[in-house]
Amino acid sequence: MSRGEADELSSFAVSGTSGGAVVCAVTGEIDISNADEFAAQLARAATRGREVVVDLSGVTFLASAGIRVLIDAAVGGASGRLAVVTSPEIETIVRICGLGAYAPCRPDREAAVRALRPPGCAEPTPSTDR
Amino acid sequence: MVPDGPPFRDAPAPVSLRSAAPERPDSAQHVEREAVLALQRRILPTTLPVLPHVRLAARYGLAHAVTRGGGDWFDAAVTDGGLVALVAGDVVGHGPAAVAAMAELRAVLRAGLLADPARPGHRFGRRDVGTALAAAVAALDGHAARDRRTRAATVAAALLDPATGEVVYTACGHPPPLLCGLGRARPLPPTGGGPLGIGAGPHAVRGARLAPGQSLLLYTDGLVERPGCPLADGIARIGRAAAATGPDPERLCDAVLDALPGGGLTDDVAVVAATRRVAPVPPVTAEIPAEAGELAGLRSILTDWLGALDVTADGHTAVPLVVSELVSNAVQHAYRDGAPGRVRLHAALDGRGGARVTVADTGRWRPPVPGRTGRAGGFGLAVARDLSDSVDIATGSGGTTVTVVCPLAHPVAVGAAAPVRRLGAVAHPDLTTVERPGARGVLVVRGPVDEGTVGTLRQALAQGTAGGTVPAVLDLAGVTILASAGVRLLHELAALPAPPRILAPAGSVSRHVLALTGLGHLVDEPS
Repeated sequence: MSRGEADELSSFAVSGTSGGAVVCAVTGEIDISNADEFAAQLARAATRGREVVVDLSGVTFLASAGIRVLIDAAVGGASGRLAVVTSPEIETIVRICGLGAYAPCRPDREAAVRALRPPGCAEPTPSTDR
Repeated sequence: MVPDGPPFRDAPAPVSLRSAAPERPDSAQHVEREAVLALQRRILPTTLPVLPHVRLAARYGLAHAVTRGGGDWFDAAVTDGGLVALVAGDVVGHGPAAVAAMAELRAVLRAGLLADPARPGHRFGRRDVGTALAAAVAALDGHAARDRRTRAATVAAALLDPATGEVVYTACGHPPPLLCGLGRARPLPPTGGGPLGIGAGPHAVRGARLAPGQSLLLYTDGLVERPGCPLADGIARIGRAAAATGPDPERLCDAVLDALPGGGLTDDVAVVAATRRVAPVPPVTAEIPAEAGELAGLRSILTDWLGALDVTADGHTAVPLVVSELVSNAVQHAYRDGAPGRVRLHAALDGRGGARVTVADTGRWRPPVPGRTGRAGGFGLAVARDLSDSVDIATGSGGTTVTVVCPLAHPVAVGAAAPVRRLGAVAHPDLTTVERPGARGVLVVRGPVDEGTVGTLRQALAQGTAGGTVPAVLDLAGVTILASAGVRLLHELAALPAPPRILAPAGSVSRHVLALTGLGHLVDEPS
C-alpha cells in the first residue's frame, strides 16, 4: 500500500502575530493519527496570546477529529478566542461538523483577524457565524 | 472570420455574418439568447452518471448572433432496471418558448424511459427493452400532439444495456444514432415514422450492439445541417471525425463539434455519447490493520481510483472523507477491548451512478454517545450520512459492516463553468418563393425554410392553393435548409384533402430531410 502523509503534521508553525492575534499555519493532513499532536501544538500556541488564528489554508485533508480539536479549543480554551482560515479542500467537513458555530471561519487571514476584532469594537464580540 | 474554436470557451467577440453590425448588449436578440442559455443551463443535465461499463459525455451549444436556437436537448440517465437511456431531441421554434416546450417533452420522455419494467433478478431481453422504448416513445408522441408548441418535434432515443452492449433505438423524424469506434463509424439504419405529435406513429424500434470500445452518438440536426449541403454530407462528415477518435466519449463529442465547417452552427446543437468501456471499472479493495497510521494510504488509494473516473469535486471529496471517518471509527472503537484487528474496504461503482463503499471490522459495535460539546460524540456517521444517499449498518458478533452509497457525477463541461459552447453564426440569404413561369401552381422555393422564413412560405402557399383546396406543386430543389419548422408545415399540408406534390431531386437538401421525416411519399419522381 502506498503511504500518504503520515502520522505527524506536515507542519505546524506559529508565524507570529497579525493585528495582535497569534497566527498558526498548519499544512498537510489532519486525521486521528495526528489529532492529539495538533491539539497539543494548538494549546501551546494559545499560551502566546489571547486571540489565535488557525490558518488551515495549507491543509489538504481534515478529518472530523481535527474539527473536534478546533471545537474543543474554541469552547474550552481559557486563553481567548479562536478564528479559522479555511480552504475549498476542507469546506465540506467544516460545513458538516458546523465548525462555524464555534469559531468564525474565513477564507483568508485578514478576514479571520477582522472576525476576531470587528471594527469599532475594543473587545472581541461573540461570533455570529453559523 | 468566424470562431470555430476550441470547445467550451466562450468565443471572443463572435461575429455574425448575417449582420455586419455588432450585437449590442441590450438588444432584444442578446436578451433573448441570454435567457435561452440561462434556461438551458438549468434544464439540461450538468452532470452525467459515472458507470462501471459505460462512459458518458454530452455537449450543448448555442450559435452566437442568432435567436433561433433553444429547442434542442440531450439526456442521459440510468433506468430503474439499470439500462442507460440516451436522448437527443429538437422542438420546433426558438427562444424561451422553445425551451419550455423542450423541457416538457424531455420530462415526459425521461419519465417513460426511466420507469422501465425491469425487476430485480429479471434479465432484460432485447424484446423487453424494445417494448419499453416503444411504449415510452408512444406516450411522448401522444403527449406532443396535445399542444401546437410540441408538435413536429423530433427525437432519437436509445436504451443501452451497459453490460452486454445491446442497444435498442428509435429515431422519430430525427437522424438515427451514429455507431462508431475501432476506426469506423456508420449511422444506424433509420427506424421510419415521422416527427412527434402529428400522427406519424407508431414509431418502430431497431436493435444494434456496441462492442467494447465502440460508442453510440446521438445528436440534433444542427451538427449535420449546413445551408445548401445535403444532410448526407453532414452525416458523412461527422462519421469521418468520429471514426478517427478512440474509445473516449469526451473526445468523440469534441471531434464531431470541431468538424463543423467554418461558419459553425446555424442554430443550436445537442450531442450525447456513450462509450462501452474496454474493461469494466475494477473495484477497490484493501485490508489494513486497524491503525490510525493506515488512514492516509487508504485515502490516497481512493483518490487515485476516483481520479481515473473523472468525477466532480463533490465525489472526489466525499468518498475518501467518508471512508476515512468510518475506518477511524473502527480504529478507535471496534477493538478497544482487545488486540487491534483488521479493517476491510471495498468500493465499487454500483451501476446506478454511485459508489457503493463497504467498511467492515471484526470488532464490537459501539453506538455513538454524546460528546462534551453536546453534539453526537462522533462525527463519523454524521459525515457519512451527509455525503451519501444511504447508510446501512450491520452489526453482529462477527463485527460491524457499514455500507454507504455516495453519489458520483461526471461533469458535462470540462474546464468551464457552463456546459454551453458558443459558435459563430452562418450567413444565408432570405427565402424567396416565385411561381414558376408558364407553370401554374408550381411554387419555386429558394433559400432557407426555417423558423424565421416559414411564415413567408405559408402565405405564398395559401395564395397559390386557394387556402389548400387546389393541389400545388412545391419545387424545393433550391432550398438550402429545411428545418423543423418547415417540416411541420409540410406535415400540415400532407394532411390536407389535396396535399401538395414536392419536387426534390436526389442529392438535394430537401430530399434527405423529407425521407428522414416521413414525407418521402410526397416527392414526385421525375418521369
